[in-house]
Amino acid sequence: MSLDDRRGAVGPPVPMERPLSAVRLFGGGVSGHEARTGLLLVMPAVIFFAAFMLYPFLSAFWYSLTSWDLVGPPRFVGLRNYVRLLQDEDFWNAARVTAYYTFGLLVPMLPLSLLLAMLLDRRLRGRAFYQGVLFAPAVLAAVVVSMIWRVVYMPQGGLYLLFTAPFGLTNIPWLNDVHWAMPALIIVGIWKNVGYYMVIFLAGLQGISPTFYEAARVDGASTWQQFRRITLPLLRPIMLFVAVVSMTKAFQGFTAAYTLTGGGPADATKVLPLLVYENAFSFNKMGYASAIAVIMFVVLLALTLIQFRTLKSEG
Amino acid sequence: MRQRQFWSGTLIHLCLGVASLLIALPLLWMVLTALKTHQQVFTEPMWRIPAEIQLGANIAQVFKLIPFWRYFTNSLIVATVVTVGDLFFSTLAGFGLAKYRFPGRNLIFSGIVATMMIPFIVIIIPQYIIVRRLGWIDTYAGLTVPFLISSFGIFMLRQAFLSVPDDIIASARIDGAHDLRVLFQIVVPLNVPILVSLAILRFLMEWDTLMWPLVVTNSTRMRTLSLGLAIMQNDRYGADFPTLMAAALLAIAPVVLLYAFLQRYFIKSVASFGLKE
Amino acid sequence: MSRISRRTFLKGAAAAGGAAAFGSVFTSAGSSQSKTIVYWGHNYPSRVKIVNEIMAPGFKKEAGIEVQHADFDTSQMEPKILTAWAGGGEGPDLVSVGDYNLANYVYRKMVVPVDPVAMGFKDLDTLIAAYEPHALDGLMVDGKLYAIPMDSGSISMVYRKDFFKEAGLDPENPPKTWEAVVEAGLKLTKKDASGKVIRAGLGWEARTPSSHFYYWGTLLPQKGVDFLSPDGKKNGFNNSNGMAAFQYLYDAFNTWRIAALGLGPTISPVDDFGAGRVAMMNTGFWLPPSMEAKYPAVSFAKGVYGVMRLPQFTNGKVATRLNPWVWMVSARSRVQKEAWQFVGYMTKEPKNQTIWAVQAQYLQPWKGMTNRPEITAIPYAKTFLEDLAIGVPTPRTVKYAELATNVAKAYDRISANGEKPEAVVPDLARQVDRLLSE
Repeated sequence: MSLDDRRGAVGPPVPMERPLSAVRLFGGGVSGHEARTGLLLVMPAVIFFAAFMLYPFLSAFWYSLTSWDLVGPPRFVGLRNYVRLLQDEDFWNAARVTAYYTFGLLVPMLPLSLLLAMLLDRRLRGRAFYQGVLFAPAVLAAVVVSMIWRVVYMPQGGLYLLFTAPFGLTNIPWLNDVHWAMPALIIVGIWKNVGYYMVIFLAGLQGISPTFYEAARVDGASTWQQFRRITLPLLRPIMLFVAVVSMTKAFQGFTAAYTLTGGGPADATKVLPLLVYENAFSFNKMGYASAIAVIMFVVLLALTLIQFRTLKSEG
Repeated sequence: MRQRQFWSGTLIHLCLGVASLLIALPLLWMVLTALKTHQQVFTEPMWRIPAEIQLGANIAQVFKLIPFWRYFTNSLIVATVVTVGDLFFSTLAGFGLAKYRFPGRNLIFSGIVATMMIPFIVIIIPQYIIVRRLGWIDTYAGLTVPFLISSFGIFMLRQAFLSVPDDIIASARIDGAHDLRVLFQIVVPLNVPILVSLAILRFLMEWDTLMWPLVVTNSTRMRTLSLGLAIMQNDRYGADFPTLMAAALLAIAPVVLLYAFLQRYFIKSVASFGLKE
Repeated sequence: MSRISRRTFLKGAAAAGGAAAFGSVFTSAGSSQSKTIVYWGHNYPSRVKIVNEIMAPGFKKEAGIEVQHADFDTSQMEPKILTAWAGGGEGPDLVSVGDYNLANYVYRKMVVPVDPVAMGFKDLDTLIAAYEPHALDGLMVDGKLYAIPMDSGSISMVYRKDFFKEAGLDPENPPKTWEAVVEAGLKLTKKDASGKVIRAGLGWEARTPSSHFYYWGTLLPQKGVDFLSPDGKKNGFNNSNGMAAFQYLYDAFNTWRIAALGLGPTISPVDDFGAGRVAMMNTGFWLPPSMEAKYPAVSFAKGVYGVMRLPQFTNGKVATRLNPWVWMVSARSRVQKEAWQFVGYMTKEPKNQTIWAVQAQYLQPWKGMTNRPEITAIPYAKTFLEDLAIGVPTPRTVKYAELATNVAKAYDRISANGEKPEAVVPDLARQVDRLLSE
């Protein structure tokens, strides 16, 4: 079933629920062996998640309340790590830098992805080719992407000169300059991910029935009006999904900063994940690092809920 | 009417063409750099293809500097084990959650979906400590087991299995097939595309991951390719750009080849993941 | 009946059991076998070669003990050692690390004192006497010796004689003071049409966090202060002398612009000097051969470059930094004696000492080393050896990693960000005081 076959469906596909399915928590009327089998089927996953997800997750909160340098047992210190964090200029710098990266990446990239998807949302010769090229960076390993861009960003003789030399800008110390380093990372992020989100948007666009557009055209609506009144509203669920996923990924971005700039220069690209890594694995301040991670989780959760609130509410 | 369409068609091709070119440029640059010697990178004009192509020498240098095959094999083992494991256990769990009723089912499903929201950064330290206690530092077990089952895999498969009509399952049962047979001989074959999608997604995720191997491995012989390349970038003794680009070429060659032939599946895996949400 | 058959369930259980065994089968070898020494060192190719091709096989033949050697990038190795050794985890038995780690490892009880008998000496006094006087002072804590030097690690300066000639300077008379370096640097620095520096007169090449202490960080002891106060409890540089040292750093990058960042794709001493991006560079003894191997045209013998003592301040303290590599043995190792035995094997024989000196440029401070003909025959050895006498060790603190990270940040602020010392130094002083007091 190719993407084209999704045309004609109204709205994005909705998964079918079993009609008989009204199972309550611990409800009755279920045959013994069905229950046993079902439980057996999910048991490995449940045990796994309990051990490698739930337990670590709860432990993170516990560790954040301790001071532990891996020598001897953790020492309970209450909220001291959090208090210290709120006074720590490194923490606030990392928070700022992370916000800069996250929004600096998403704000240009997502509209671009949507635009590209809209361009591709039609019968077009060579569509598979365009899609193939635009999506390609997403399948490359992040470390390799960093290596490639390091060469692009070489101050003397890097590929970037193709675009900046006409403006007289040469010898830009991309990765060594406090003002250029973050834009450099953002550009890499856009390059790698714009095709990825384009594909998701495209799938969503293809789920919108052309009859909507035809009706609108008959009514004399302009392209822009069609976009605002039909595309955007019907795309809301996808947009919500993309917003949440892209923000979560950008917020946790580690590889690019670690391999391209190491957080520098002067911590200009020291995003929060790097700060956690450094505190945990270079300084061995396990409790402190866990506290940073917990704060990241809370912020991420809050942002996600906000996005659900704003994007999910039907107009 | 046709006139307008023609223009907009050209404009669209132009935009898409420019975008594709911009995306492709760094990759072309990578190939070009891999053909040069390390002096040529700075001395020659940018786009000049050297008279003597150094690709072979650069590739040889890569193998001299790092145990490339060892790193590659490690990544392959880890990604394969995790992908196969995830497919297997997510299939079991997805099937159980989709087609069986049992106490706590909703709780378990909600819980599993909720773990999708846990950012990795929160659990990396505790997971590291667990792995250390188990003695799995610097082992394949340490690299693979904590990622063996993914919540989005279970979610995807559960959604997919929900749409398998109950009558097919019921009639198979009447014919005497027991549960696992129903699962593997009927339900799974009906859902091969989504399984392939999940496999591709998982494989790419594991192939690309850096932070965990960085934290969990120590010795050279356990390093994954991502980690090996990251270290190579920072090497102040040996690596120079053509060598780095040759290494990059080697690293992406298999992925690019697969992508060229299976592009549809790669793209579909991302698209279907997005739509199931 | 559609039940999961018992057979299937048992198969599943067996698979689960197999998975658990899977884990233990693949545990790293060092933990289960006896009489294997797990040795971690940094990825300097000459050192790696010596260990892999000469020392380890030779030791195996002589003592029947296998050495499993792994090498790392320095900046990654030290955090790994820390996490591997701390809290009872498995880790390497033997490491070669920068000596600045000594305080931290000893504090965390992660290393054991040197075993002179295992190394082949009668006792500790005999061992100490075999080295140059005071060579091991910096490696002692509370009267116990914890590390054996792999090299001496003095920092000197290399300079491109060809660039000197080009700029009209006398290649046989390089600048001996930092003030003279400014003059020479101004003539040696080359800029392109847009005014960006494409060849820096002076290069400090600080890349890893710890390198800040022994590259530009040498300016501090040369002004009579250091990053830490003598008692190690507070910062030592928030005063006029310290400020003067940072001022020189600032001026080099921003006022005179004889030093610059972003000259090459990454900071690589070998490439920056060999490819001519830097005219004068501070460095250790290891650089010349590594550089000549990659850039044969830049040859000492042909007079393309020279080696000189690190410049000094006119009215300052005559000093350079020592950052030797040292061997230390894990407190949790089950083969401690064997590890020290291996260290003894690698260093006690003059034959092996020469191998280290000639092939890796690691001059171990054995007594009389500097008089040995095969050592003085190495063309540029003379300067490096003479500088040993004026060497100052790097700051000793348990909080080494954090200190280095903060110092690196201050350096970035001054060099990359162009911030003045008046703004940066007090901040750094505050950060250092805070981390020392925690």
